[in-house]
Amino acid sequence: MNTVNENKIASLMTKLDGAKQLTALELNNIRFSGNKSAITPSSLRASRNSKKN
Amino acid sequence: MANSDQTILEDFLTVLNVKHTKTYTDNKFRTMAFPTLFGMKKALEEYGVDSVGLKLNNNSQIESLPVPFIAQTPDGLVIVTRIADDKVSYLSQSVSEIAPLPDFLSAMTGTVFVAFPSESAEEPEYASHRFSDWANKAKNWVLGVAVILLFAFAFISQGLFSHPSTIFLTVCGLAGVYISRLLVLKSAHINSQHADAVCSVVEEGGCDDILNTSASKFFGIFGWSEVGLAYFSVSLLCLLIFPQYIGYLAIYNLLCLPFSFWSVWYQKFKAKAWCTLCLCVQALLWLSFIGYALGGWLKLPSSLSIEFFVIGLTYVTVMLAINSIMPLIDRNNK
Repeated sequence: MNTVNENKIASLMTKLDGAKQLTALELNNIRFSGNKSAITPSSLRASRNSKKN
Repeated sequence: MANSDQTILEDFLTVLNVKHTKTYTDNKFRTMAFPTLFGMKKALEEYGVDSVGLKLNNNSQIESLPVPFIAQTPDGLVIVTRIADDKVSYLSQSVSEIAPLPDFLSAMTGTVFVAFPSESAEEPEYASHRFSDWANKAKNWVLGVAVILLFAFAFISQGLFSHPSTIFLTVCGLAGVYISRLLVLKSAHINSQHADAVCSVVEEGGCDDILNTSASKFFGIFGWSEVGLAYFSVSLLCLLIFPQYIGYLAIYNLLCLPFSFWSVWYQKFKAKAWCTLCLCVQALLWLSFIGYALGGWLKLPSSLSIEFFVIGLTYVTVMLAINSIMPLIDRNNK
């Protein structure tokens, strides 16, 4: 990674209080879904409601 | 409608304004060793784009992130392109959506992926890949024009334009090849917007319901879509190149008609679902029959020459050839 981008990330982390950088292993656990349908605002709302329940 | 041809990598590079070509980027995405954000990170590095994954302490922190970035939701990843006026604009499967900020904040998991393209970020060997893409498009255009010119030559030189029935039969043949091709694409689980658009006319998802049943294949080996494509393509080519055997084509058409009764009966009473593409094929079979009959081509000969059997053998050969290619193109086999 070049120095300019390293500085950008460092600057971003100081703005994001309490945020954590993900490790390579944690990034590798986030798979692309096979879902071919777009995630619509209504499906976002449904996800939000199911989280609340 | 979601563009399933477009990958998230391509979408992300586009909104990052990083120069790339579709062919290389698609291939890069499909051959990723890790189909994960880690794989995406490695792929982006090749384009000169650095990236970092973050777990936010509070989802409202996304307003401090530089756009575009990728956000994780329970249903998958989306690319956030703008946050303004209490709304979030994002891309999902290449479809632009806008959601109220509170809904988005409540739905997202708090995991984000932020990219930092360098000044010179672009696809490796971009110029050469761009030329290849252009050359491939030009090749397809040349092929298309050549097919049209050959078709026009055969249509005119064989005098098919001189009789209304042969014009009608040619149109039916072209339509039959087009519809059968869409059916073959559906059977091979290859997404086609045209196929989806036609399929939804009679019943949404009806084509998939029928094509996923055992009845979509005979003897469990040959798909009816392959049979249809072989029938219409051989009939059309024979009509264009050997119009003198139109009488034999009429006989083969007659022999295919009983299949339409079985197909409609199966859809209505067994599958209880209508496949628009399948119904179109049946309609074209019957329209062809009408064309042959009204044109006076339907005459049962006293004897059959060897050419009758050669045409039959050609139908079988083309069907077997299409059938042998199907496993190579079926997306479910990949």
